[in-house]
Amino acid sequence: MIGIGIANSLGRNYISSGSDPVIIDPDAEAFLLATAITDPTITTAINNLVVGMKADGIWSKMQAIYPFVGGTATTHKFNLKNPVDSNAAFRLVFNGGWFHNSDGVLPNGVNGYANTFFVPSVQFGPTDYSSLSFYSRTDSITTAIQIDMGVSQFSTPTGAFLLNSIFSTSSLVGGFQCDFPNAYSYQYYGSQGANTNTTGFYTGTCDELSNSFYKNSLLIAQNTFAKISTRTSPTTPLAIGADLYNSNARRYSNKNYAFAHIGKSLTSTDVVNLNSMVQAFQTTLGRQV
Amino acid sequence: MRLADITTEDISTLVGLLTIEQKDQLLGQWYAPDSYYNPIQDASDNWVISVEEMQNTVNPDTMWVKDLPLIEYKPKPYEINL
Repeated sequence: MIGIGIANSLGRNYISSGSDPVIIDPDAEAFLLATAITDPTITTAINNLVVGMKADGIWSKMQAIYPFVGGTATTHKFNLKNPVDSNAAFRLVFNGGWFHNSDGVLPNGVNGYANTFFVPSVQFGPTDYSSLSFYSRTDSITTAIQIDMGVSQFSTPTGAFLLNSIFSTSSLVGGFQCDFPNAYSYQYYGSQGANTNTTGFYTGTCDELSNSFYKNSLLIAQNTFAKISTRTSPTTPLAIGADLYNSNARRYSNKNYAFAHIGKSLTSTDVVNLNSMVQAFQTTLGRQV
Repeated sequence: MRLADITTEDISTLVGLLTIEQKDQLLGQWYAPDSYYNPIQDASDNWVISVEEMQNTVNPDTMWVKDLPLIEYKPKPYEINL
C-alpha cells in the first residue's frame, strides 16, 4: 500500500510502498505543502513527475509548471516550480467562469482565463529561446477562434507568444508562435500544422534556428527563421485558456486542461521525455485521454 | 429568466446582465476562493458575467449577482486574422 509516511528523524516525508520507503523530492514536497495535498496517489504522481524531470535535465528549463491537481482553484493555482502564493512566482489567478475538479481545470469558453503573470519581455532575454505545453482532455473545435495559451500585441511593434491545438472550424491548424525583442534583430513567426482533434499533449519550442510544434511528441510543423525587424516580445502577461491581447482577454477556450508549462527552449529529446512523463502523470491520476 | 429557472443546458447559452454600475462593483472582486469576476461585453455591448460566476458566488458582498436577469449570450465577433 502506498501512503505518506510519518516524517522520519531527518524531518523529511516519504512515500511508503511496502518495501523500501522513497523520500519525497524536496521540490515536490514544497508543492504538496503549499497546496495541503495529502492524497497518496497525487503525492506519488507529483513526486515521479519532479524526479523524472530532474533526471532528464528538463526541470531547470521550466519556469512555470501547472499540474492542476487537488481539484480546487486554491490547489490548481500553484506553480510546481515555485509554489509561492505571489504574482512573482507565476501563481495563477483565475478570472471568469472556471470548473475545477480532479480532472484539472475547465474554462467556460465565455469569459474564463487564468493570468500567469509571466511577461515574456521580462522573463526572456535575447538568447532565452522558449517553450510552452499543455495537456488537453477535450476535443472542442468551434466557429469562434479559441486560444489555449497566449499573449499578443498588435500595436507597434507587434508580437505574440502562444500555443494552440486548433484555432477554429475554418482554420483546422494548431501552432506555436514566439517573438523576441526587436532590439536584438531576431523575430520569429510561428509554425502551424493540420490537426483534427484538440485532445492530447501539445508542445511548442523554438531555438536560434527554428520554431517547432508537437502533438504527443510527434512533430507537426517546423519553420526556420527569417530575421524581421517588425515584431517584438510581448510586454504583457501570458494567459491560459485565452489570448491576452493588448492586456484584454479574448478567444476564450472551453477545453479541460490537466497540465501546462512555460519555460526555456526544449530539444526534440526533451519534448519526447516531457511527453512521456506527462502521459504517465495523467495515467497515474486516472485522467489520461 | 433568473438563475433558479435554468437547466444545465442553459449554462453555456445564458449570461447575467449587468448595469455599468454593477460591472464597476465587480471589477477586482472575488466570487469564490482564488476566483475573480471577469465582466465582458457581448455583441450588443451589454456588460455580462457567466452563469458559472453567478452560481458559484460565495462572497457575501456580491450575492446580489444571483438575482441578475439572464439573457442569451451573443459573443462579439473577432478578427479572423491571427
